[in-house]
Amino acid sequence: MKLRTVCLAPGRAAPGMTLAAAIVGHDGHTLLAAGTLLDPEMLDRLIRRGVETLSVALPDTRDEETVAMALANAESRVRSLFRGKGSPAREALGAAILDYRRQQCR
Amino acid sequence: MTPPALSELLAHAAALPSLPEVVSYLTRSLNDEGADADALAHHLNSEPAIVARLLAAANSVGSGLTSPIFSVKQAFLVLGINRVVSIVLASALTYRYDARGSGFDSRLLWRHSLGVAICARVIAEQTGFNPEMAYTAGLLHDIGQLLMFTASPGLYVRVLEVKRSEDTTLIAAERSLFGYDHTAAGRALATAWRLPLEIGDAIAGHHEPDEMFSEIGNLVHVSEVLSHALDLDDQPDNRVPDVSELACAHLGLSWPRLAGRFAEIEARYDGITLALGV
Repeated sequence: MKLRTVCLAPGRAAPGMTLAAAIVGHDGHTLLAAGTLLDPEMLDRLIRRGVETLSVALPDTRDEETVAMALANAESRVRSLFRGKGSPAREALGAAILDYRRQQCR
Repeated sequence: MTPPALSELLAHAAALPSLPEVVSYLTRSLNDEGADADALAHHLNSEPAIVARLLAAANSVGSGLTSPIFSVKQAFLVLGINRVVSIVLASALTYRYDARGSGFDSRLLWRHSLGVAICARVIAEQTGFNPEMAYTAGLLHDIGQLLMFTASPGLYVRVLEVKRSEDTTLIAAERSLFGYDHTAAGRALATAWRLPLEIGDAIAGHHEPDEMFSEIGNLVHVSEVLSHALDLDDQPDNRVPDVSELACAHLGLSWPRLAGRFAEIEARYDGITLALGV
């Protein structure tokens, strides 16, 4: 099955999700390894330790049409956000955002 | 409607809620490496309204907690320094200042400030700046808007209408109706409140950093642009403001390199708005 990686606040994660990347604490120690299947106790512990984000691998059940529509909407929104002229630095930011949104949709 | 002169604005600051002692302590301790969590928890315990909000936020971070958080110290661990600072400042300023229904939504301003603060913290981590100072500067960068609205609510609502109808910048609309903008108003307020100099510089320099060289002004400027580009507060008329080439160069900022942290910024923003209920 195709998987997609999503970055979430721990409060949005649910038991049964699989970590896509290790969670490292403030002291540099690994709290949970990549591939760990999250259970309620682990999520409770992460929240209590003040972990702010985690990456999970979710099954991608979207069909091609849904992905294409999400991509078209994302590109249209970025064009609207960057309407009007600006500095080359603003254009470079626009390109980085467009690239990020495309990766996020795929 | 005649706008108040910039020199008269601070007379209206008395109408803004005063900063509680804990906020003074927090902003002072941003530059103090010796400041510790126990001392902060002690100060927080003297403000019951803030304690109540901290506990509510700690218990709202998501459905993953198996038992409730009931002490400031536990809440501090769950929330971390940035979210604690956000709640304390929000309690002092915007929560007591509910201007919804008047054409000025302080909740929206607070959501925007949280987005800029999170971007500022991540950019500070990338560029070697003090992340906690950057975060707080991001939270307070638009405080001048609150002061201008307090001083002349009808005229400030007109500013927002002009911005929307002419698709112009807020700064341009403020200057055309008031003769000055929220960066000047905010700087005056920061000085009156004796906030750290860096916070005043960030407030004054975040729209036109090339006019006033300040590292933190540059940092909050690019952070605000990034928060718009990531569409964090999801406003229908959102438009990414121009970004200073010089500010990016001074910070050594590379957007493609920073792009690796865009997803993390969005998740942090989602987490904090969830916890704070804004």
